[in-house]
Amino acid sequence: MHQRSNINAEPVLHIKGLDLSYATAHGRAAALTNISLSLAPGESLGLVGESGCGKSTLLKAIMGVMPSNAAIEGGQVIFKGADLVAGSKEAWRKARWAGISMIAQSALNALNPVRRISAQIAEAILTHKSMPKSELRARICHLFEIVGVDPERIDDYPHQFSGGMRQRVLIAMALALEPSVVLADEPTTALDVIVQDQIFNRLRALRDELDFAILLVTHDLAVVIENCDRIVVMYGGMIVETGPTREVVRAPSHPYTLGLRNALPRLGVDYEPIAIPGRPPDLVDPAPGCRFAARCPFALPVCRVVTPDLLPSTPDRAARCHRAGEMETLASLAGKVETWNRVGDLANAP
Amino acid sequence: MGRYLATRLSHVVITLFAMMTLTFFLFRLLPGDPTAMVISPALDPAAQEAMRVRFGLDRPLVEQYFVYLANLARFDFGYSFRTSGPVWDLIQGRLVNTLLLILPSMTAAYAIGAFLGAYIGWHRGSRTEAGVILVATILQSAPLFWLSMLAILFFSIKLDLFPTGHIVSPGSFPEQTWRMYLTWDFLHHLALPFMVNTLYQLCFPLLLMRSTMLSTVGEDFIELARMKGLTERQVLFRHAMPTSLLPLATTLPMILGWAVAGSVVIETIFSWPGLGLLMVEAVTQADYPLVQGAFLLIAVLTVTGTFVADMLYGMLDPRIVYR
Amino acid sequence: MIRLCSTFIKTVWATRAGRVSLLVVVGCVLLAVFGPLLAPYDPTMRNYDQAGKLLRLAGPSWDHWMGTTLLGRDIFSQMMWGARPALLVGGITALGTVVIGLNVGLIAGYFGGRTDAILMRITDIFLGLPFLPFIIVVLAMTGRSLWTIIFAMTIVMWRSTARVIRAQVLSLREMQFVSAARITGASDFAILYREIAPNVMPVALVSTAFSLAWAIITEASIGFLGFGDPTVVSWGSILYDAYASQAMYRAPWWVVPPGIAIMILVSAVYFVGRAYEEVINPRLRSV
Repeated sequence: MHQRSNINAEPVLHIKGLDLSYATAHGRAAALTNISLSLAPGESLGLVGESGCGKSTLLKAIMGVMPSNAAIEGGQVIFKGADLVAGSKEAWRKARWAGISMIAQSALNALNPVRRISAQIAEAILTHKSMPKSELRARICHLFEIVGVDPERIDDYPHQFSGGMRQRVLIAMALALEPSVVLADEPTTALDVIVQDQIFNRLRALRDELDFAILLVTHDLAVVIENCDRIVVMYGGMIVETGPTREVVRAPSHPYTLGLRNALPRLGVDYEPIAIPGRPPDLVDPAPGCRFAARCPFALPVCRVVTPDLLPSTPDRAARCHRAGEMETLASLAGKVETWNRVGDLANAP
Repeated sequence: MGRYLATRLSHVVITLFAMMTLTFFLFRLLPGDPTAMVISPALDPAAQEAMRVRFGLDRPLVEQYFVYLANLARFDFGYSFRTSGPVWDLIQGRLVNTLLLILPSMTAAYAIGAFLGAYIGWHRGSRTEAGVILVATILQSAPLFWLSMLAILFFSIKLDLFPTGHIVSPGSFPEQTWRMYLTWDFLHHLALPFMVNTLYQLCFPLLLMRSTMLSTVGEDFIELARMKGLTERQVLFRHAMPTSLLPLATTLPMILGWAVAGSVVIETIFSWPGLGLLMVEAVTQADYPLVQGAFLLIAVLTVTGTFVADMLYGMLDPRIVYR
Repeated sequence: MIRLCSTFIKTVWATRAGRVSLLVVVGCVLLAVFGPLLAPYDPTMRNYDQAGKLLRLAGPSWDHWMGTTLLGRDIFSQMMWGARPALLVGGITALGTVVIGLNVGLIAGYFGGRTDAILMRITDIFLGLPFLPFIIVVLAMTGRSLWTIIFAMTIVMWRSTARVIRAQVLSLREMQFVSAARITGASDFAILYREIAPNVMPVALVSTAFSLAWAIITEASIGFLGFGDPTVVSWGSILYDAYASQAMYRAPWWVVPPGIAIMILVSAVYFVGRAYEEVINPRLRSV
């Protein structure tokens, strides 16, 4: 599913300048800052970042299902030309699942333990359209077939399935209403590698067949490389880099992306992955300047004062770094452990 | 399922058997004349002696015990001292009255308590939640008989809305018949004890339901239900509430036991002619065969209720697999 | 044990509701200890007015703050006396309940298997015992005294504590510190009482608070039904006198204070228990 040609078509989902904050005991945490991204029909976009970078929050914001202490402070979520943030709650509710659906992270907890799978899928369908019972059951059986689960088992309870099966069931549920966008939140974290592969292969095949766009959220760069046309890298609630997956991975324009790339396994080389030292930034009272500066081995004095903008380098690439232009030189340094250790020492210094 | 049912049934039988044995020895081995249990001290000595032989009380205790068990199996609970009639005839009518008061009010208490508890758990952190918790805790802390006294004081004496007690107006039905329960008069008498008992008993399910809801609302499947486009009401009533009801169902047997025990109090204060009042009266009048009969019946009721509630829970929660 | 108590008090003290409730409980304990010394009248003494007439059902006045009973007894003094049996019966019953319940729960949960099955069967039998009727029968058969009430209540009430503790032990049994103790060759007894017991104490403490609340209400109910110790003035027996004399509906000052006293004491005990429970069981905490 690499490189689809319809990227220049009108985007099916377009997020513009989204700001979101949480009210916490210590003050307001800026969970998402000025997030803009678009998803073309049938495209698959990977969203990478460490936990706490705001990627799951973004998915919830797109679905309009946020915890009560979260508030969208600005920006738009435009789905098929209509802004869901500005529109009524009811309009947003109707867009959920019918237009934008979701493959949840933990398949065991995401399914109601005391209701049959068929009832849980039927509920999703019937919330948005009426359907006679026989047609409904046929539809659910069909959904089970396309995700590769025995249709005989539609009336089972969640606990009767294995982890991989449950994840397939969740995919079936996500496709129930033939949505144009599917959000996937780390859809295979709880599964072993072989089952992970099976699930992604199935998902890719389904996307080619049913032509929905995917926004795949993960902390694992390898998953994005294998599955997504384009990539968005998030750090501290901001987008730090975006572009076609291959190009971004081959030649990153942001030190954080360089750091993520270090975690990738390399074939045939005896290579120890390098972790990025330090912790995610404080979002309640962020330090001035670039959010990544405190952990960046290449930070200049200016980085701790001025927040860089997300600037395009080519028509389809952009990065948020003062030194984006020198990245080719910096990339060779970024492959060395000492480079990162220096930051670690600095970060831990009193 | 069949195997599980059999195991549970065998437990019920063991419990009932233990209960009967306990009752037998409780009524005979405690200090005092064991024969006073069956023979009215009001009779003259010669008649007492005759009774002693007739009922086999001159035989060893073990033998008496087996006779007692055999009699129970035939619903023979002995004879009342006061009326000299069979105990079973006296208690079976009272059982109906107790059930007519307790079952409706417990059902109402559970339904209202579960709803209200789910509601405040859903709106956690709100003022309503804090207020309801405070009121429920205070209500639960008041003795039931005292609440009943206040209710009578206010609704019966002051406002004259309801009668102060009894099941029907005195004299209107000299004999207990089923026709009695079909009158407005009966409902009029039922209203106040029903309301007081409901109000009191709903506190527990309410508080439990609330704390269960607090953990349910954080579950992923609740979020997924929202994402599916369900309205908040649908999420609450289709997912959050049914799931939270399960732990509540496990407490049903315990509550049923409390309710039956509570019936002693509420029946006494409202002069409601049920098993509880019968037992209190019989104790006061030292009518031991009657006390024993009423006590055994109450115990059987509690054990049976526990069993039914257990089965119900098994049917509600699909995660429970019977082996 | 002392550390447990001090953390218990600190935890409860941390919330406003906990603070108020703890003060109320302490106040009631002080009343139970010193109330009879401070009571202005003998609670069973008949009071007469200046003309020498018996003060029947006199309303609250300067001399008799809560009025008098049908027999001219001072209700305020009766209230001062009534705290003692409530806390005595409640306290000893709660203590007995937790001692039996804790041990049964620990043994059943730790040893499992046949021991567990037998102990749980016994617990089931006690669960089937109708609470109040059983106590009434015991009182009727053995005579009415405070100690009989305590005995009868304890015998029934340990069952809930045992179940709660057992569930807790089952989850602790597989934990690392237990297997560590086993590897070092500690005996079952040592593991049970040195390693596991301290960890179930918080739960036992909450359960004790609820037993205490329940025992106080039950003691009052028994007093009200007329099966209380006839030589003791308790809040329940004051209400029984009011009820039995058929005067309660004419004299609200007789009926209201004992009920309110029970209500305040018991809800304070509940709130203390719950304040502690919310800390040891984080999912109950509100955001």
